[in-house]
Amino acid sequence: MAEVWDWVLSRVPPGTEIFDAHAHIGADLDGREMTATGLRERMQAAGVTRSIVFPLNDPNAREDFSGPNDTLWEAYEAYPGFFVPFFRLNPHRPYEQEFERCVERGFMGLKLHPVSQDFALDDPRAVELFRMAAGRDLPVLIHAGFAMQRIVEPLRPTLEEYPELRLIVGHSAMVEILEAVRTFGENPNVLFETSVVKAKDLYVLMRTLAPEKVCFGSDIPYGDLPSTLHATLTAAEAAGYSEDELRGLLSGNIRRWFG
Amino acid sequence: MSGEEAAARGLRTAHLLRVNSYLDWAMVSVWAASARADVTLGMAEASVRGKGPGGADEELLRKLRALIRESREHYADNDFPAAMSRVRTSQDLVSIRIIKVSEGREEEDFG
Repeated sequence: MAEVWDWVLSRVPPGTEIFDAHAHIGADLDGREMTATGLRERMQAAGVTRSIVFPLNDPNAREDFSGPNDTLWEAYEAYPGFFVPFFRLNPHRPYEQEFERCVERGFMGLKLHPVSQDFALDDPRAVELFRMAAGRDLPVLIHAGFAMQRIVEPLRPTLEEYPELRLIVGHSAMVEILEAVRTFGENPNVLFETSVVKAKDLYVLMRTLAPEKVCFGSDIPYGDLPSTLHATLTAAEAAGYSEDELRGLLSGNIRRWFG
Repeated sequence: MSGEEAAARGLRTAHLLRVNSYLDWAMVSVWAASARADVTLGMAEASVRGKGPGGADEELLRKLRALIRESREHYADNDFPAAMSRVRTSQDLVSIRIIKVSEGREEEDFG
């Protein structure tokens, strides 16, 4: 893997402060886990200076994810320059109080996972969360990757009704990548995030979507920085990205929202 | 492109598609923690043994042999992220090479 990593380093434009738009801190029902310190060490080793972080599908989430959300806030307070904290909620459970608590606390976004929490993107309780987020100008990152079977069609009415909603499409809508580009590609408030998407899928994304609409992600601890940076960069180079477009992909595009 | 060149490119692409499909199996097996993950990694490893048709992809095949071997070793050590990283990167290398061959840009270094 050292050879691959050398290639990655040779392709990151000089001076680029990489921003990872998708990483986790905490523990998951499936046994995966990541600490704030562990994530920070991986970021520093790979030249990543800032990461959006949110809870895993925590076995101790209880009804409202308040415990895992507290863990995220502690990570942010420990390393405020490194982390952009998102909170997580379950649309099937009462969430109004936790939503307000997290927004008031200063969380910078909301993570929703339709597979882990077993809801459809057009479930009325999920749509209500999108409405609340749009009303507070709070970006939402949705899992739209592995195991998803309906993405574009259930999401379209929400984005039509709340065009001001800032949405990060996690894993770039993987199985519906082309349909997502056709439907949401012109929306100025939608970004496509690249974590653990295969290079051939990313090539399709990057050949069909404006470069300023794509942002890099790792999905740590499910992904890792070397392989996800490699997939993103090799696809971008094959798709003909310029050095400036690579800078946007790795950093500038998502920093328009989070600095 | 002559008929002979087109046939050679077709054969080369077919070989790379074979490798790509064995890597797909291996990746899904590792991801799903299948009891057959070591077997599918071994099949992927076997698919890159020996010279490819025409010999134009030897440098790529050398990288794949090393990555798949490392992936298998990490999987045996229960290091899921390291195993996934290497098998995923292997497939990315193959798939981008197939795209480059189809575009006639295979001489360029894409990782």
